[in-house]
Amino acid sequence: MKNKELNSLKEYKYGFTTQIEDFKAPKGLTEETVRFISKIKKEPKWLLDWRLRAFKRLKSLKEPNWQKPKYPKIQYQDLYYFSSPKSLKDKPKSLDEVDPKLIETYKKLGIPLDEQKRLSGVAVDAVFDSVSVATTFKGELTKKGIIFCSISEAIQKHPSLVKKYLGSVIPLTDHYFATLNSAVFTDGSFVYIPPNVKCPMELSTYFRINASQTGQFERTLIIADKGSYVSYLEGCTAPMRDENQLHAANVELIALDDAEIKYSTVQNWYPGDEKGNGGIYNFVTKRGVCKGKNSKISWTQVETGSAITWKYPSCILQGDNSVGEFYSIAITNNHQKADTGTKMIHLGKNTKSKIISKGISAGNADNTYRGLVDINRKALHSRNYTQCDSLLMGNSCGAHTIPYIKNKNASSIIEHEATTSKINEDQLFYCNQRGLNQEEAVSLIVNGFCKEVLQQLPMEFAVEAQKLVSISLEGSVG
Amino acid sequence: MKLNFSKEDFNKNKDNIMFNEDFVKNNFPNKRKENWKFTDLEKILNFKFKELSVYNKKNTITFNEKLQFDHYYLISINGNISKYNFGNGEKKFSSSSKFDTKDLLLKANKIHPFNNFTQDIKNDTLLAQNIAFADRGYNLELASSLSKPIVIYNIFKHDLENKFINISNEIKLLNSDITVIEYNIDYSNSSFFRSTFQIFDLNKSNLNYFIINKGSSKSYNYVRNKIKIDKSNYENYIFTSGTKFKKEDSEISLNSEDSSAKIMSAVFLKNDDHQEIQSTIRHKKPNCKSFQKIKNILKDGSKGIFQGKVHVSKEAQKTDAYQISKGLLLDQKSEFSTKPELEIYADDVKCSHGSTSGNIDEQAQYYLMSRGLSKKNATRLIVKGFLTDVISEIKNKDLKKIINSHLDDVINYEN
Repeated sequence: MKNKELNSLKEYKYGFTTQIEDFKAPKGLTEETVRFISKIKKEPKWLLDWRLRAFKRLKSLKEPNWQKPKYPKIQYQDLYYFSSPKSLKDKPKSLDEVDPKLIETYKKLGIPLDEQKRLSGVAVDAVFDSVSVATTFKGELTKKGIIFCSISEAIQKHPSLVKKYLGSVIPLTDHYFATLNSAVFTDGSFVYIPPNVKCPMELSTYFRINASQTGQFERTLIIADKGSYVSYLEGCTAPMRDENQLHAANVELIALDDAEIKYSTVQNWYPGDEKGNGGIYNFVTKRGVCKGKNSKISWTQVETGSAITWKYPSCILQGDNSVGEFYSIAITNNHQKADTGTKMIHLGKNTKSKIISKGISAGNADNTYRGLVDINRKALHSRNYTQCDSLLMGNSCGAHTIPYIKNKNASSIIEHEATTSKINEDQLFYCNQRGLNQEEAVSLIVNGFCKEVLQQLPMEFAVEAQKLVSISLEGSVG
Repeated sequence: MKLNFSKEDFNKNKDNIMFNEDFVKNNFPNKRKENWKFTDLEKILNFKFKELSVYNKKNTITFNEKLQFDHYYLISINGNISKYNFGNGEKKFSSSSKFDTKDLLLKANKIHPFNNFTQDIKNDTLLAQNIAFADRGYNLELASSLSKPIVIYNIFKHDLENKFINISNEIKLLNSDITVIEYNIDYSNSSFFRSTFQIFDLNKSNLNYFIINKGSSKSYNYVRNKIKIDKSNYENYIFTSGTKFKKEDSEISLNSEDSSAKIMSAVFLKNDDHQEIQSTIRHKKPNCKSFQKIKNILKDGSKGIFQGKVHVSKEAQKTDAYQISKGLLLDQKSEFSTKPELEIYADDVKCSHGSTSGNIDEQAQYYLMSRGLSKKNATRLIVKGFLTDVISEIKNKDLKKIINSHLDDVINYEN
């Protein structure tokens, strides 16, 4: 049966269909599904066993329910856990071979896949519904010894690296969604930067959820070896959909001695309509470990989409003198809900962390910052600074701040501050007086409010993000 | 840990059938409950007590160590009011006696003040226990201002080892402006667990409520306050240094416009002391203010915790809420944890919180030492300065003096 399906895939010819046909795993979350995914991806036995262990563990876990935004129960048995555009079975050798429909979609999203955009210096590993489509700039990266490919490819070509690090930051036994991902993850990106190499360009991946009823389970693994540097961009957009869709990705970052990883996200998935119907559930687990001395991990996120955003990009500061940073903008409008923040766990000596979080809620939205700063007994001379500001627009929205702060030794210093307010009327008046209309004025002020975070983004992203900030708040002033 | 009690310990005039004996016996809250995340009471009690027995004795004593300033007073022994003085000389108080003038009413609590809050009793062992066992406490009602502060001498004496004392109090104020000082003195030198449930009902009134500990105590204290504020101002000052374990939960509702609430605390924790202040301030109406300042000095493996929540409902525009918690850790073994929480549903508000923790500023220490102070004295001065921030807010000069000298004792003794 499966072989037959595989054969039929080969018969696909470009342009014959306008709709991309999906190739789906059997519906439902069963051991069979897990085996199916593993088999179709020709995975080695150790990985299948690993998945099965996760699946076994999953059965004993319960979905967490402490979060602020509640959601209707997810019917895991009604989801498809694997789907890929059919045309991918014959791997395209160049961009011309890629399904034109895909290219068109990417163009709409503004992804720099074609020659012209290639000049802008972005290498792209585009994931369209779980399987990598094309990877550019490989040559240049290969010269430096950098591995940047889909995780499926990495499993085939660099099994030792994957085996060593997969699940080392987010273990199989983690919380429900992370374990679910470990059992059924389909594809994602893999990056390895060899020692003392500075990655010459921003690596970027665009995710897109297309097929309805398909949970997305990406797995990203980034390893920065001693003395290396990489900046990674992740951007997401999604088309209009009515059904709620689950997105439970796992992202693991590992920074060894003196290495630095900068991970930036712009997330603009479908937030549901104005009445709060539909939209995507963004339940992502992102965690980085500063394993080596003097290493650094920096998370930057601009969250404007999704019906529910529920994620806490975290840093485990294990190596001495390591640094963790978290910059976040979360914008919620209409009926969107966000419960996001970070965890900074200080284990090594002289570790430093910095958290800047900006939350903006408008319409009927709820925006929660939830964070943990935990300075361990042995993390001498550590330092944390946290600032979370919230902006409320209108009288039906909510803004919440729930920080957990634990200091377990006297030589460490923690500072935390948070404010909540509305847009300053004096500032609005000033802008109006100088000829800006209300909406422009709000957009300007909000962009100013977010500036500290926006300026952390790489150039290409910063422009896009600024526009996003304005677009997301359209119609909320009046 | 075993909890001992007999059928007689159950309050008689209550519908005690609702209490499942097994439940009352076993389930002390632990860290699986959000409010007890930093304070695992089950573990703490199990660690200290092999068994706890419900305490039901009522005693009286003569007490001659009153504070040296003009005041009215209540004397309570092990939570049981025994004497009072409201200007007409010291009188004896028994649970049946009533002190009643036009504007002042003092009586023993017959009906548990939390009787109307029993909805979630099934998930709340401490509440269930208190309703079941509380056989002591006072009910104070005032309808005019008092010229002198009221001191409640809260004395603990006799053999209280492994005892479990349940107390319930109620203060109702209408058109009155008073200062109440809860002055805790523990002579018992024993480890016991005290659980106190209190209601404060403020109507067009001002209440300044001070909690001061004299000396040190090996007792374990849990206090839950429900504070209802209508067109009133409530100020709470907490100076509870020296208690082995203390958790003070306050739920404050600002129920009408132009009300305010203030919580101020300065404590010096040492010798594995564990103290937590948890506050929930609900801003329900516009134009209300809340202000919280919590300062902890921590030493010798002590733990200081602050969980503060400010909830602003949709209606409560023009809210002004501020909260700051600071921990000063003097050694490597101590811990300071905070969870300052904001939950805001109104847009025209000014809400902020801050939290810091760290050790003594070495530069400040160096500065003082370079001017001739010994390291010890420099540290003392910095510690004192850290706490003075709270003390300077006290308006009553007599009280300020008393609290200052208490803190000096603690600081000078320790450093």
